[in-house]
Amino acid sequence: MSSSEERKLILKSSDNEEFVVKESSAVQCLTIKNLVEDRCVSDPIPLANVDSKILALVIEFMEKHAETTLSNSEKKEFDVEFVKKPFDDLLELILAANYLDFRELMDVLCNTCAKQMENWSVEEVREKFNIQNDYTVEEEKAARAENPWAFE
Amino acid sequence: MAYSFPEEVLEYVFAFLSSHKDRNAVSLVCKSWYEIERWCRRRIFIGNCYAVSPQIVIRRFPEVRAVKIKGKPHFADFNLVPEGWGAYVYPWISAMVRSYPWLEEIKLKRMVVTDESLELLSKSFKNFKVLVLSSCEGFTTDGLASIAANCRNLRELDLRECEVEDLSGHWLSHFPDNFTSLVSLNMSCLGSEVSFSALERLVSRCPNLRTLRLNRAVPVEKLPNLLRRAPQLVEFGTGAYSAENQTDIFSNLVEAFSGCKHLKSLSGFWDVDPAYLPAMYYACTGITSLNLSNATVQSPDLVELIIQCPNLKCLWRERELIEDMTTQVLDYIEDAGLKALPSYCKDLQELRVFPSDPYGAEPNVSLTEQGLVTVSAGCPKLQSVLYFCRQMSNAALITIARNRPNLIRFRLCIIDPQAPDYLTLEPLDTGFGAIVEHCKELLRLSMSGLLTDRVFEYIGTHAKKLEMLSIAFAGDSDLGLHNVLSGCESLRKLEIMDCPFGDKALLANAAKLETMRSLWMSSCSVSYGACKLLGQKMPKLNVEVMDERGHPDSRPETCPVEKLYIYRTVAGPRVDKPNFVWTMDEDAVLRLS
Repeated sequence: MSSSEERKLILKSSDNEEFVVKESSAVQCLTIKNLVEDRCVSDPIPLANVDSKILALVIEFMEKHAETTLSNSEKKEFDVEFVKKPFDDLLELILAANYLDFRELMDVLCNTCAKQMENWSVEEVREKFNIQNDYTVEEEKAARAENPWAFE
Repeated sequence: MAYSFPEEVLEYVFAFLSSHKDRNAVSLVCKSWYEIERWCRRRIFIGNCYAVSPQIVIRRFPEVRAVKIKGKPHFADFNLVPEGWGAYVYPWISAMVRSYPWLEEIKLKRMVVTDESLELLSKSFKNFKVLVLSSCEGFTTDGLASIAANCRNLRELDLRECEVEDLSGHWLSHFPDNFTSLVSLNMSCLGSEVSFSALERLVSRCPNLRTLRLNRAVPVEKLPNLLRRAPQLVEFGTGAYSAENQTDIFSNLVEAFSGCKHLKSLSGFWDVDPAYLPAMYYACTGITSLNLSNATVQSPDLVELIIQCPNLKCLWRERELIEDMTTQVLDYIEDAGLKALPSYCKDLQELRVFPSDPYGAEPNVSLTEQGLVTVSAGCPKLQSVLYFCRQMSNAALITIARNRPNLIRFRLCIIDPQAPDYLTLEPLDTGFGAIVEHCKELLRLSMSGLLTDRVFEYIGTHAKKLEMLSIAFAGDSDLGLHNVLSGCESLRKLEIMDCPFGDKALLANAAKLETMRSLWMSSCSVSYGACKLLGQKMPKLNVEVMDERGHPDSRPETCPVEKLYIYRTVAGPRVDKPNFVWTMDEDAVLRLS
């Protein structure tokens, strides 16, 4: 066993909880990988944008995907179960994965998110993403006509 | 919880949205989402080229890489749209050349494509990869030569049922010697012979070639050389499949086909000599799609072929291999052949049976409604049917409907217009009524035979998911049209020919027309006066009267128009109309825009 496999990092969530992870798993997050390569690793690494609940989930995914003994199909099975979460959690995970620059997790989450959004109405999208509608009535009417008439 | 989504995150999510409808929905969420979405949309679909203009498209979506555009109405396939009507792609290409230098993909259906357009596109889009032309016309093999010569990164050249002026087969030789990127080539609709050595060299140097559909002019003795050079093929269409009796051709074919272990789709088969069919048997492992619509193969040979596809036999065992089990045949398959289908093709999803001799007075084959009934009973996954036949009964239709409530496309063409139920001589209203009642997910319906207003009552009541309806020689009065327009909530395309539908229903349901892509009516009873009124009432629709007898003003207002094509648009009236098409109340529309 080489020393890099044993090297651990401490990640600290926004709410000050600390998580110990293997460096070899953590570098799947390019943000962390860059810190390691630039030798800028502080102890612990503060992740201001990720709370403990979400960080725990990210770490669960991270460690599963770092396991060399698992086959691709086993990892896919894990992914299928992993994304069975409330939509709000998925959105928070997406933001965390983006902040950490964790490409594999982003792909799985965004794909799931898009599949769930299939056939949603505009109102549903607004509600689930919690977005305020800032169109005027006229503007919205015009945009609403163009879409199905021209592009469907 | 209010989220603050960085733009790149939204773009990332949007990239996974597969349908245009979903992308359209997110674009309406709020103004910033509209902006983000329009900058990252890479694929656009335009269902009616006159519903929007190239300028509007380019203004909204500046970074498009792939376009799909549809032009003429569907009834153009039956020669109902006169020559010179429109659907020219040139304005689109010239606009895109200026604004989308990185365009990779163009897919067109029922559009007029000139050699000039093809040359322009081939020289302007440096990264052009995919050209699919379905039912297009207006170009010659010179245009194809430009594509071959200039599109250095071409992956797909797919000509489906196009009308190409075939000047020579020389165009294929224009692919440069260092061109190796071809993945798919479909030249099945071309007439002339290409240079076989050029074709062989092309196939040899393109290691990623997975689809090769040859034209009739490629003789069967050339196939082994081609197949040996491309054992990785997944989709293959033969040329003429017969030769003077030469046994070494047969053994060469067997050897070549047995080397093709990945074939999933077979087509071609012009001039089939049944003796050569067994040569393919070794390649039939894994076949999921068989297009035998050119093959004048008698039923027993056909059944033998189907049986010999081991994967078809084992469908029930290896279901995960089946993606799209499609079978297209001429009616030579007959009832007996269709009867055999369920035993060997349990996973059949789509069946198309075309007429071998549609104009013959007497049936030349023994194909009746029974064949379809049998398939509907034995193939639980059957969801899409196109069936030409000479007789039908309500009983058969009711049985089919009960057997297959999962049907989503049902097109029945009884060759004799207004043919009644051949057993009872009644109209086929109850039969088609059963179809719409039981098949609740039906998206597309095409009817034929003797039909009264009653069938439209059933359709209006039950066909709530129906998106496309084709009617000919049916109905008694405006009530029929009224029931369809007022009852079919999901209707997008309605095409009608030779029905006694007039002004009343159309004017009463004018608002419905803004919820549909288009309405086509030909040889009906809609008056010129009503068309003008509709044009006035509905400025956002293009109400186009088509009449080759001259301007409708030269006839009384009550005179029915020859053809009527109505569609919603954000682009205003057409600027490229021929002299036999008039937009109703064009001035009013122009004033509004």
